[in-house]
Amino acid sequence: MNYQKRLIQIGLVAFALLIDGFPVADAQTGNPNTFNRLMKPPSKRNPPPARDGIHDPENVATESLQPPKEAFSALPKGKGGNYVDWVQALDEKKIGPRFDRVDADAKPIIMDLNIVREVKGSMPNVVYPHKQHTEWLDCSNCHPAIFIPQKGANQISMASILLGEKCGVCHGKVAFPVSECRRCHSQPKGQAAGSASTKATPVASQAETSKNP
Amino acid sequence: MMSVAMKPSRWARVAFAVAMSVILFSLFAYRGSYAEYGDVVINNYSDEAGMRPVIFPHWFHRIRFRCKVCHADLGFKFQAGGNDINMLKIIDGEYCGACHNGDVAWSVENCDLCHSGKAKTPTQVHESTLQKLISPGGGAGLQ
Repeated sequence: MNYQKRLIQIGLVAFALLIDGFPVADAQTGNPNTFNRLMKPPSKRNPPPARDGIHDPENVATESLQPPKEAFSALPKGKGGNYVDWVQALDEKKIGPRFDRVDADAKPIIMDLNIVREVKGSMPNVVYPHKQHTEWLDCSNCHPAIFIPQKGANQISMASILLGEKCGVCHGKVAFPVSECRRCHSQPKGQAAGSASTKATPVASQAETSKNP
Repeated sequence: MMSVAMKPSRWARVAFAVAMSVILFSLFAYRGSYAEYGDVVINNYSDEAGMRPVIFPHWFHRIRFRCKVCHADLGFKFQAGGNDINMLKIIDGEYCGACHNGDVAWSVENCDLCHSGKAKTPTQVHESTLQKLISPGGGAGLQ
């Protein structure tokens, strides 16, 4: 009897040690040296609320919340953020977000004006399209608090964007994140303003600002 | 006598194994948070009031409304926790209450649909670049 008890005790201790060792290693494979250790695997994207880590699974109503994957299934795919291309979804009328709180027929006031910003360094110039932005936003959302509506008046850097200022007020929080470089840096250096990718093009370059303040 | 003594210990073993499996599973199941990009946690007053923090799903709302409706017409600032929203303002038709009034959208009696976050979750924009830079693991480390 004592022998059997001791055997069980040893078994339990061994079991406890075994499970204690597991969490150190990778959850899926038990291997600490996995590829893409800090990257979010596709299987972890757009999880249902009860398993997303911030919703309380103990809360009964959490189960009533829609899983994002369900909503996104019919929408065009994007590379970052929600993994949805929201601009394309709107263009293709896959979604029909209201422009007014109650009036479903209210139409946005679209401004079709591209702003080209000549950037320092080797990256292609930034083409900012007012069109896609005015589909979603009102002028007052950006002007004048975030962007002064005047050529050369706005100093923008990737550092400030990463810290959530300027474009980073939305891009990197709800709009596509900065990892999608080429969606903004889209005009090759030296390409004449007013070419295919740009219609009306007031050039607002930071270099120019310093010359003609 | 011996067999009688053995049976409970076997059951104890099984129970122990089951309990450990549950603990093990929960350890594996919780590997940081993977909440949706743009989800806003608002915990200005919730914790002190003994309520779960609010989680606002941006993605759900942008399918139904353009940014302008809330951020221009309703006056929501582009800042998580920066709007000083409370239940009185909501029932008086400000902020969330402009729609969540039983007319445009369901009303305030559904407390737990908004107040659905884990207690002590700080105010934040989830999965934001800023959050990732501060906590590269994208884990539970929050701003």
